[in-house]
Amino acid sequence: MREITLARALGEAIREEMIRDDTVFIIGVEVGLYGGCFRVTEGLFDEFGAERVIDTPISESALVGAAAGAAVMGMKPVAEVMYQDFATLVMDQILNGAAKLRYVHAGQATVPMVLRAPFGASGAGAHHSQSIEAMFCHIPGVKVVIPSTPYDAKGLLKSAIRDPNPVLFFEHKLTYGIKDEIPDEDYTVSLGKADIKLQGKDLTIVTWGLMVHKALNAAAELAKKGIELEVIDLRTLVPLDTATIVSSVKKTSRLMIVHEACKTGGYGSEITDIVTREAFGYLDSPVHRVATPDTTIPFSRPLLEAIIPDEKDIVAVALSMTGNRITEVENGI
Amino acid sequence: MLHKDDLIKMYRWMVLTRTFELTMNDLYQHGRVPELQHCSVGQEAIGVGACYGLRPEDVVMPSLRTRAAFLVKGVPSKILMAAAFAKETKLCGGKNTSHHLGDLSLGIIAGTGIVGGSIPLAVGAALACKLKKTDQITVCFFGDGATNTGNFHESVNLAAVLSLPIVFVCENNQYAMGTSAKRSMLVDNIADRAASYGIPGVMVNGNDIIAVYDAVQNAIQKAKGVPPQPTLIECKTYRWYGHSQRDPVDGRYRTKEEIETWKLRCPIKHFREYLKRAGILSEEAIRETDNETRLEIEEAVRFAEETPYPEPGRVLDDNYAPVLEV
Ligand SMILES: Cc1ncc(C[n+]2csc(CCOP(=O)(O)OP(=O)(O)O)c2C)c(N)n1
Ligand SMILES: [Mg+2]
Repeated sequence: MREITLARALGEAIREEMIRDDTVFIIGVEVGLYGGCFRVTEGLFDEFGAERVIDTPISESALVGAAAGAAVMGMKPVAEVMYQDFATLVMDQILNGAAKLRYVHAGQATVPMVLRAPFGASGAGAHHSQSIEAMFCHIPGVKVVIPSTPYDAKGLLKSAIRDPNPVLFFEHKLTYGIKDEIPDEDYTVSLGKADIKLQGKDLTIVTWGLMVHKALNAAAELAKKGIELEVIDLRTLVPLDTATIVSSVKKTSRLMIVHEACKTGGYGSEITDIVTREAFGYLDSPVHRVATPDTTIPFSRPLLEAIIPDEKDIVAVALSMTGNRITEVENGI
Repeated sequence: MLHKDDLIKMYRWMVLTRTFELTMNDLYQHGRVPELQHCSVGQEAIGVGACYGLRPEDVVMPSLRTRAAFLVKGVPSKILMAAAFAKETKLCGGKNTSHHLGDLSLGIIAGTGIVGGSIPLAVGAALACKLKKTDQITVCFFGDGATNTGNFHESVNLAAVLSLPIVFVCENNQYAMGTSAKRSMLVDNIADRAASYGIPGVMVNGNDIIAVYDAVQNAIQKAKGVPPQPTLIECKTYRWYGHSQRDPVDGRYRTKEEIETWKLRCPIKHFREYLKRAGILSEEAIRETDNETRLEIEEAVRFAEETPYPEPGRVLDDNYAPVLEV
């Protein structure tokens, strides 16, 4: 076991897959010589050379389309877009290219590619801060993965690289520095399996990315008040592990979904829909979504803090959902 | 080098393509084929001339108007027709229209319906061939309109910078729907755009099949060079029919005189005269080719009509590849 950061875990996953399979290559803007905008691919250019760690001009659409084209021809590209915000530039190549290539070839084609992109509010301004994962979850033909811990990040990225489908792999910038013990030997974490990060009986929180950590902090707060949260880290948004969510809600009878993406059309609505159909009779409270309000993400710290969901928000909503205890709070107990 | 037999075959491919297109056009007018056609009549020399010299393993990315590429690359006309009829075929199983289908076993990648959007995919195919160190060439077709998209500029530049074995073939029929190239770019020749990527730009008469063939073969030599170099080939041509069947043949964006002038430059007639003069094709052989291709396409229509529709039960298949344990 070793303790490493999530960013390093990702780098190790790519490196080990490149050693394991010589069809794996990296392509992106500043992924090579520079070492990656967030240093995820650092060292790989020196180790594997310019042929397998391909720096491109600032041509996101061409490079992601090229990744899809190369995948159809038997390669396993790991493409990077520097910020998820820029993924709008490659939307066509994902939506009309990568996602549809297998379908329009009636199954003759496989598209084993990964597209990595950092996301999330980090005080970097309106165009480098968004969480737009829901836009991609709406595209049949792709998988969507968001890790929250170094262990998961490494195992999930390995699975993503080995997966025969286009996998969109989104990394919250503020999770890059999180450290964790990870095994020395090769392991994978299957796509499509949520992880119950904390067991509890009073309320289920479904979340992903950085919000997993905020939910766990909130859970520790609430535990002091005798409220036990169950925290489910989705890890894979598509395909969604419906069974884990539904069985947890059947146990706790309450569901809160927490995401950093803005509320309207967020992926939380999709989960709400599933739970209200599959566990309706078990619910003791309406499903609550804790999300960023519908706004452009601001730069200034106080503005950010006013809108990005945090532990306080989660605690407050959990208290109100568990009913009887809200008065205790109001009474200052 | 092209031999007599090659020339005769190339002629036959052009005639077959035209017969296919005219038949499909006619069927559409009579409501017998559901696919809105983007008729390639007048442009046959490009797809045939560019694909004739390719090997089975070479890769093509057709445009919405490169009907000939499918046929020359080896898709049987009856399968192509069945696809246009939205019938069950191994190629696309009714899942997409016939002008955007692919058969990877024949080296055809299905393009997207987004003008310019297929070019990045073709660049990726060439990148894969380079990384795998095969000597496969990728030929990517697109129209004049596509050269105004960001994807064109990004992709050609990327292919140039990465030194990829690819040939870009622009079918410049001078219009993108109703917008003439004159109204959408200030350069006279699309080939001139190559200069901004530092690669050769070549302009040819797109209605001269031998000129197209030669230009593509020269470009293939460059693509196989050390280091490989892409080429942008502009084939000047003209579409005889409307953009699609929703567009009248003589829409208000062009004149009847212009259309008639270009019809005089018919690529098939041009080549036929040449072959006759050279004593390669007799009147009888010409009639025979006409007859044979007509029969082939009639048979294709019969086949398409008789082929069943795809099973609705399979409509959700092929969105995802199954994950095998690794
Ligand atoms: C991005 C995009 N814009 C518009 C269209 C609609 N459209 C389809 S074909 C076409 C014209 C394309 O012109 P060109 O590239 O010259 O090819 P041609 O049709 O002349 O063969 C247009 C505007 C589209 N499919 N995609
Ligand atoms: Mg055109």
